[in-house]
Amino acid sequence: MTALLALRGVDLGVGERRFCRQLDWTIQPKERWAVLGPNGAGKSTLLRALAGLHPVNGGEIWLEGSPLGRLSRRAVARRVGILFQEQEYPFPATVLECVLAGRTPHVAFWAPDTAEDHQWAWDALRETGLEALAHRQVDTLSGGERRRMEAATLLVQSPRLMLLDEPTNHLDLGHRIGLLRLLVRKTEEQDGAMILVLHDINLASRFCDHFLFLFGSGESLLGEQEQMLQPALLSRLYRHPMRAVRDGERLYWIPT
Amino acid sequence: MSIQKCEPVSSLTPWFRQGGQGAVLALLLLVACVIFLAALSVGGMRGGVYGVWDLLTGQGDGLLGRVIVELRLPRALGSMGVGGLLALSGVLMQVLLRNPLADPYVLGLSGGAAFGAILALMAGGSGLWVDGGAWLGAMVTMVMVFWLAGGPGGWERGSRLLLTGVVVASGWGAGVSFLLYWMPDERLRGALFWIMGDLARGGDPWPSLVVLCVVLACVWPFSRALNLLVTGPARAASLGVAVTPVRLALYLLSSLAAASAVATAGSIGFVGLVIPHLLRLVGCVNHRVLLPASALLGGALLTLADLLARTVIAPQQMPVGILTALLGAPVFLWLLHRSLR
Repeated sequence: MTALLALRGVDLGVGERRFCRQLDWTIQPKERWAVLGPNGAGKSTLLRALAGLHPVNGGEIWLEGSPLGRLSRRAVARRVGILFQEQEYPFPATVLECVLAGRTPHVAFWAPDTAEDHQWAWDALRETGLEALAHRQVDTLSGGERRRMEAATLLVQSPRLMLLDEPTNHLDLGHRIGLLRLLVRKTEEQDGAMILVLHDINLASRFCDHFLFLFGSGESLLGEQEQMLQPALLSRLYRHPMRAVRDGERLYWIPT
Repeated sequence: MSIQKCEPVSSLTPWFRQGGQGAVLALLLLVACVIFLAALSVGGMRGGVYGVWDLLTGQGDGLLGRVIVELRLPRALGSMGVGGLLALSGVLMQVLLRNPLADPYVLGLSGGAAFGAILALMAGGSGLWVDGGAWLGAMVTMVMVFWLAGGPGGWERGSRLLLTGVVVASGWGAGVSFLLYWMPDERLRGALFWIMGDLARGGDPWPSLVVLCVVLACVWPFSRALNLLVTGPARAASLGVAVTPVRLALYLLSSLAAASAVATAGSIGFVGLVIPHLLRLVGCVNHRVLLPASALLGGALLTLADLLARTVIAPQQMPVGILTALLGAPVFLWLLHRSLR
């Protein structure tokens, strides 16, 4: 089985700062990864690098067995979708228009939007509960509604690998769980995988089976949930003592 | 300063979604035709409507016919081409810079072109040399503004770019004043043309029309990419747009459009700013419609402005650039004021 994404000896940094050194990381279909780390540890930059939007300083990234750098933007966009931490919309556009843009990698670049494209967009709007807002201007949406719209765009793009940078920003508690469940279901239908950057360990432990820690010093650590979610390790990661609270079967992590 | 937002008039927006976009283009085409015919009909010699009719039915001769064919027709064609080019380059620069305030005049391109042309005039050049000077001036300015305002995240910072453009424009202004001061009196009149923007020079209208068609044909198929690029290069790239080549092409085509417009008619201000803005205000935001609509409306409005410029104080004529700058400056200030709120 070909790995969905494979990193071999990847060095990543910006300026003087090093985010990871000699990182070997393999993401198999059906895996769900959480990337945790303190502010400025390079989590967002790493996600961008995985989408081919940021150059790596060394090493190689392979997407479904092909070197990422050799694939066209279009070929990458059909397989990898990314939800950015922040997204600006300086020109007017409606929710439907934004969501329709998700079809771009799947249609000819000159083609107008077809009925099929609209079907995709409306399905995604329905699943994210945004049907009623389809013709609203994007800058009239609340932060949470806009986040759901961006998730809907990702559903229309329907990549096998979803890269989600703090996907639950601005979302209320109910929508956090609802949106992540929806995205998990969609990746499973595609035999895909997802990588989430999160600050909420409890949300991460609920949805992710694998973890990658970026310590901010260039050191990184990865593994399965049981071996990664340890008090000592998490305390070192956040430079603050962390402890677990048990409720029935589940462990919850809180800063002391 | 945050990036300027423009809200469409909401009552029109749903109508656009329901296939109104084709109707808008048809309406604009009709408006452009009416204004074009008016530009042929109105002028110092009366009875122009009959003259145009006679020409169309193939019996136009005599003095009126010659005035229409030899004077008014090239001028109307030229203003259609130049207006379209200015509006189109405005749209492209706005996409490239993700800023609805970008415009060849505001960014100093017209100033650079004027400097280049006047320098060529001073050096004793004429004809092609002067046009070439205008071209070179515009291109140099474009490179300079983009390079100075560039750097990490630079293009996306509206204030930095506008400031750079404004400062470069005033630098060119000083350069032009310097040249004019040293210029022999008999050449001054020819130099003024480049500063004011005038369609009365009676140059060949075809180069600008051809460039307009070429640029429009090149960018129109990429409307989808343009729609994405305005939301940022990273988002566009993540959805499969080859950002670097597309941006390079946009950069070259918008410079080409602006430089050809300036080489034909001198520096005419604010057309590239006002036209796309007007269209976005009525909900025309998809570049598939915005690009051709801007070209049409830009041509139509500049032709109308030129018609006014040569009739309101007849028999005197006013350079059209004065009129567009007079109208454009308050509109620009209003837009800037709205964006700062």
